[in-house]
Amino acid sequence: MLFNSYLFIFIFLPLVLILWFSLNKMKLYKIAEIFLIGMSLWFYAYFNFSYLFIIVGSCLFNFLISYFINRIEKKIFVDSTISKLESDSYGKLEIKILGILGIIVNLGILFYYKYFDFFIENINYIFQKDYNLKNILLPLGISFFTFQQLSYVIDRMKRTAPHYGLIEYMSFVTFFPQLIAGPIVLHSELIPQFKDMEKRKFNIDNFTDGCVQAILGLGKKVLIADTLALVVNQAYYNRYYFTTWSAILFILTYIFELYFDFSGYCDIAMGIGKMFNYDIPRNFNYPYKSTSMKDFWNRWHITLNRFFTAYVYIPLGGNKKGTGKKLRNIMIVFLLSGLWHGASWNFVIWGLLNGLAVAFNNINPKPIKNKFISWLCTFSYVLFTFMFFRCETINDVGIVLKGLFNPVGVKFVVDMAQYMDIPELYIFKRALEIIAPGMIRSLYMVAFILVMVICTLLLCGKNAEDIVKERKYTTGKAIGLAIILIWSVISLSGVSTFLYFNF
Amino acid sequence: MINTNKIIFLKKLIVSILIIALSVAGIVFLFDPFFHYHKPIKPLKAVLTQAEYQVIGTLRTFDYDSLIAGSSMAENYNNKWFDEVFDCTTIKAVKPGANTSDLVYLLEAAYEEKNIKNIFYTLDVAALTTTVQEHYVNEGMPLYLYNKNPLDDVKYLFNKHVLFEDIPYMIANSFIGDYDEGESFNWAKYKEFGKLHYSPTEEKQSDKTKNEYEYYVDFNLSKLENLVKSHPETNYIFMVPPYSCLWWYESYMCGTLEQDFYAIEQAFERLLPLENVEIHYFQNMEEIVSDLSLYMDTIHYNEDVNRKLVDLISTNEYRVTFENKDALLENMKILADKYINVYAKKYISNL
Repeated sequence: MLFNSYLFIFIFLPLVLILWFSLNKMKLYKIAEIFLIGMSLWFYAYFNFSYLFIIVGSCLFNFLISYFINRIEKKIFVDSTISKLESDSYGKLEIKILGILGIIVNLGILFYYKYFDFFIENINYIFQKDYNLKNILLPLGISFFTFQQLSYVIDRMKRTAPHYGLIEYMSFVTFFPQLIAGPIVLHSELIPQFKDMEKRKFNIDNFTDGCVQAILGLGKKVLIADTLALVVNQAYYNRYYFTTWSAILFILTYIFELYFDFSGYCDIAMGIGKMFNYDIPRNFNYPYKSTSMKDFWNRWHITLNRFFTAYVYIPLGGNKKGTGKKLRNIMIVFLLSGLWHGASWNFVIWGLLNGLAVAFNNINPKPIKNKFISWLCTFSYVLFTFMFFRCETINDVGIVLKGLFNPVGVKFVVDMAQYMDIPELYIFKRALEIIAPGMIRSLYMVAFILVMVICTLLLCGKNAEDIVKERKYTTGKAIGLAIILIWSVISLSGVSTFLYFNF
Repeated sequence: MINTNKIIFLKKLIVSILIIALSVAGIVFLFDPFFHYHKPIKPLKAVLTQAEYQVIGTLRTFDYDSLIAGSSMAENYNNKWFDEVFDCTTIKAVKPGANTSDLVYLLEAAYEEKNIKNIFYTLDVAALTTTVQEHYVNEGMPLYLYNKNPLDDVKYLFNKHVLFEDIPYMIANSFIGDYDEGESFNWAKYKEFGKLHYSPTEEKQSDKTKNEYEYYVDFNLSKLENLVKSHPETNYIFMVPPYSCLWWYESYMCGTLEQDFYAIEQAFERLLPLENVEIHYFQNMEEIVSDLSLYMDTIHYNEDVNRKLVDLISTNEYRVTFENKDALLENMKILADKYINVYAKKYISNL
């Protein structure tokens, strides 16, 4: 199920909230938790029932790993014949084996569903073989919930996390606001909140803040990102016509779309979390204001970078084993980050480019002092790297790059604007058809520029979380939010042109 | 401590949401451009241009006693032609590319609401030979308009396209220009005839065997037969439209000529015995079939042909009877040969 769907907005969310707080008010805490797990699984399995088995199986497996580690831990505690000195090493090997087994199985599942075909494609290419691809449909959010559970298994292996009950653990992994597209919430952030019974009471303060943030997120996703997607997708389809300006505009529009899409979704997740009185960590912190790539990666997809830092970078030695190893560790992290985003060489190169830039930032003895120039350089580099992110193949990157170095006219820029054929423009379009048919292209151009200006202003202004923190409660704000919500809701359904009659 | 500012703000937010939501839903309900809830409120006109979205609503809410049923071949009839000739009130039950199950679904939906005097049914050969399809439901169709579940009406009541495009379009056509309600779903006025976009099949394919199509023809005709039998109060006037000579050529080249003849023959066999059925067969109208200036592709002709067919139905000139059906089919086979080898080949040789 998607946040931006009628079912979620009109039925699912109100139903979960009402029953969750009602059950908790009746002190039926366990039933409330089971109910929340059930609803989260419905949310997850809405599009494909069979994937329910994957997430439930994955949760049970990781729970069992933790359970067996717990048994070993208990034995240490109960067995009084083991001295303090012995207890530090007692069972260490078994725990390590269990932890490694957990890591292997989690990564194995992820590999099978996400990377198997990519792996086979490369084997076929390198060894000139013809092994069949499995064309496996990627289970929704598998990268997110796998990493979330990996962090728990590693923490259990390191004995820095407690063993949780099955219901607690399932509540944490399946909690629907963060299940499909993150943020990657850690057990230490969410489970203590679940255990806090004070948070089970309806809190109008948090509920209001949550509503505001979720509505703003929905608006970012539906009204802005989805509108920009019309231009980006059509422009990409016609990428062979790119010239310098249209290629730049294409990437610029895409990085706006990407930010408003992903951060909008995260705002909805955080907002819904707040409605439940639970804090979900922020994932974006004005990333396009970064003045270096190192800075950018502290602001973009924060929870993923936090994961890689804690579970890859630091275990590899972090920055404590000399510059060479530090740079190596950075490159490993970013290559893995690239692969995490998708099974394609484009993502690997994207990771590599980001890794190189961050490594450069780490060793550059003379960073640019002028803030504007450093911002411009960073933003331009972000633009360049995201070209690899959007294009589906390396070949397509070449086509866009070719366009980038083809400074012939701006005709395609005007064509690109026309892809933004949104219903809001319909009346103006029809009116112009009657009074000034030649101006219709200008109408699209004006609308496109307007949307891009709005995006820029929004990027320069406060993000949704900070707007919530402002705590300004004016009538205008209430009306504005209501307009954003209803405008987003009416944008969820369309009227398609049936192409049969396309003579 | 409870923050009263926030409570007031939340109340304002909820009230604002409710006011705007009810206003949007109210506007859509009032104008109802897909006629899901009611027929047009005067002085608005029934502006009908999107069959997939509007037909089902019109069948449920409009006043009528007769229907024009069919695929795109039926969309260019003006309802008023039938009203004048047959003294009835007609609307359309059409779907572009409709197969038999689609049309049966629409007609059954109409029977749920009305007593129907006449059904003018365009009998497409392709719809008789097409793959079996039990239900109307198609992927991507706006099913919220078809089912009777009020909950999924949110997709209609809260729909940006409906609000910003369909309602203004309805208003504009009601008050500006001279929109003719009889021309519902007409597409011919936007098309150019006589300039065909056609590339002939170059290699003759092997003829389909009876086993390959018999089941489909039987399935589709059974559906129609059952419908007709269960509504003896309705006159079913079936019309077999005059596709161009190029369609006959393609039928021959694709190896479906025998199949198409079989479908028509079976239609005669199974429908003619039913008392409430008339069949008018127009494929032997040589002067039309051979005149490609009347067509925009291999099958779709202009509105003048539609008008002519209506008049010919009333004169019974092309009506099929038990007595003439065999001779008609025999003659048609000779004529088909002429369509293919004379008219079509001449046209193709000039391409």
